[in-house]
Amino acid sequence: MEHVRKAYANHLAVRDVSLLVPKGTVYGLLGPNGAGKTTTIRMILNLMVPDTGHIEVLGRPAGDPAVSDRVGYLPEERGLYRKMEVRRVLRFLGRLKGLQTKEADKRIDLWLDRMGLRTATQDWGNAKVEDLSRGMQQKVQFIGTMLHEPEVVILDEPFSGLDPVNAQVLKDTVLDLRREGRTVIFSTHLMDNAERMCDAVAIIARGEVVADGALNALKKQYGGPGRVSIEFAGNGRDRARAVLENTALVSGFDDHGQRVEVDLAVGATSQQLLSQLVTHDVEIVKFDRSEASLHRIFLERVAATGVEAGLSGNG
Amino acid sequence: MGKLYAVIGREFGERVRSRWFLLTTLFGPFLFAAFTLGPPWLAFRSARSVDISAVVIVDATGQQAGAGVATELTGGLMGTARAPKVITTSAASAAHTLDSLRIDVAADRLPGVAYLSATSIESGAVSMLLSSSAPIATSERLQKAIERELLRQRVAAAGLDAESALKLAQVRVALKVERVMRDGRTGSAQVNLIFGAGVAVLLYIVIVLYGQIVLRSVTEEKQSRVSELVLASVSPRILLSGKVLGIGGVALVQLGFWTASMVTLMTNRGRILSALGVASSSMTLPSVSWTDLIPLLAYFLLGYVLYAALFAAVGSIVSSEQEAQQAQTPVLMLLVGSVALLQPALADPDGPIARTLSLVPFSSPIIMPLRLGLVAVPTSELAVSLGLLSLLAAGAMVAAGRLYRTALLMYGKRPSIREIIRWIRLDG
Repeated sequence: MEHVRKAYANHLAVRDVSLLVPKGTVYGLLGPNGAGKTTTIRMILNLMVPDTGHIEVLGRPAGDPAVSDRVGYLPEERGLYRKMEVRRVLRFLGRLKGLQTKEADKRIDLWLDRMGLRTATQDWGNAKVEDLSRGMQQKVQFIGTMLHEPEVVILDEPFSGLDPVNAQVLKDTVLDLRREGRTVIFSTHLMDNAERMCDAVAIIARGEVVADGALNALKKQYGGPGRVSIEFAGNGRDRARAVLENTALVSGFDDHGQRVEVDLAVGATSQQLLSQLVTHDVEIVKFDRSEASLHRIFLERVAATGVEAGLSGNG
Repeated sequence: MGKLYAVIGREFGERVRSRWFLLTTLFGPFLFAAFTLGPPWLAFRSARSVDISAVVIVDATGQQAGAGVATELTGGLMGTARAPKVITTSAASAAHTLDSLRIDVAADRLPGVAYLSATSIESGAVSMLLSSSAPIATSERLQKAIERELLRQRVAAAGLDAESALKLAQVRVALKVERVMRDGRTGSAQVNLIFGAGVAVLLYIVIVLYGQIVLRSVTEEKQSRVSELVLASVSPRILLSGKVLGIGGVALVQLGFWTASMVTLMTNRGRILSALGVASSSMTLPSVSWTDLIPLLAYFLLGYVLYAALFAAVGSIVSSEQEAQQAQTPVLMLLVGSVALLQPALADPDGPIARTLSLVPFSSPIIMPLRLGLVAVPTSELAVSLGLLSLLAAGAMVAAGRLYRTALLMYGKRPSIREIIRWIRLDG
């Protein structure tokens, strides 16, 4: 999508967003609440028309009926026809994606088995949606998203409201999808999940992309010189004082007492830091050089654009 | 096309399978049967329940008039097998007899006492005592019997032949009104009136009923957020038309069933009543040909589409069912207004009120079928009316479809009129 802009009556939801999602990757759309993630997704799905800009999905303009059959969508606000039987809802959703009833029925059974909604003793497919637990309803909705074997799967906040077990099931399924060569786009404010699952991400804040690209590249670009976590023993903490206050080596640190998180200064390496500590005869239990986490990049990038509210979500 | 069928199929299938549909479909004919068969049957039942033979007739005429009345009361369709008891007294002892009978009536041991005094034959004045529990029909039946007996007495006193005199006295005018239309069509005026008003009210009921269903269906989809899922697969236009068509199909099935059962009921009314032991005649239905039904069907379909689009638009802008109840008021007012003006239109079906209302698209689906039943509407007027209605119905569908996409994803505050207009214009 290129230079897409969307304004509502009294606020600008998406200011200027350009994204390129490579085929066959898991792509994370990250941003604090109200950043414009859902609006962006809705425009990709042609649920909303952008005021300006251009969106292409699978090489066709968004909203092309031929494209919508190749895309699966799981909305953030989940809902199904409560009074309908599960199997009928799924058949309906399948038919909306151009599936024949027979084919849809076959796949519904497969998916019900896979999601544990059909066992030897109980077939939830014949139950009404309203009789299902919330977790089961979410599974049904997920089946509805996947039934037509979409090439592009768009999940809006898929982890919200999931218990740890179901969250794990979802993660595994997303990775399965990538293995099958499908493209997955999902939005989240949970950096943990994004870091573990995504090949590439875009960070959106205030309706703008503040960082995007492959995860490794992003870390390299925004990660800075690096961060080191040091755990002292004995009076190591006191002996290290001189080293930690050396601005040529250390740009700043978080003090936790016997443990400090050190941000290296530009040009300094962890190697130099370690040798200085050894020179000062500091007793060290642990010296851990970590990559910049996505979480930190996120906080920094979002803060850089001056978003004050809802900074990290609950990431 | 397959997607449209999927939407239609869901709307139609889920509703026809519901218990609600079964109940209302069956309840319609039941209600109608109660209306058409109930009153005559009940009237007959209450007339029958009077045990007329328990009534006592006190005869002080001295001319056996009491015995005559008793004979009148026995036999006949509603007659009793046993003749009521007649006490013949003189005018002098009548007061005493009546006093003792009055005690029995007061104690509810006797349903009633009729007293024919010495002057009754001359003056026609008869007094009656009725117990508190006896139905009023008792006195009506006695009155008729006494009238016939007194007539016979007077005729005999005048020295006339009783049979031919009775025949002379029984003049009853049977006025059969036949309205002659401009196109030469004829029909019973009363039946046409009932038919026209019936069709108008039926259309009103079905449009309100099914318009509300469209409204609820849209609100439910929006509230449960299913609409977002569905709109990711089909265009708002397909979703809206599928919904209106699917629910319209349910309406047609139900309306068809109701009409068929009503026609069956009306044509067999006499037979059913006589099977219940009630004497009545079948009502003659107006001769309606298929060509008369086509405009009715057109008005129903177009009127339904127009109002369904309006109700759908209302459903798409609200966020909850409570809100929908309020927001639909303007649409309901349009419908209720049309029915409120049914009375003047009935009174003068060719008058300015009726003619104007049958051209205005919001009221024409209800008023025009009424006029068609009563008068011959010029073809040009019919064409203009149908044309206007089609235009507005199509326009309403297009506008509702445009509103749909934006409004279905807007939760929370209800939009202002200006915003609604902007959304309709914006989504070209």
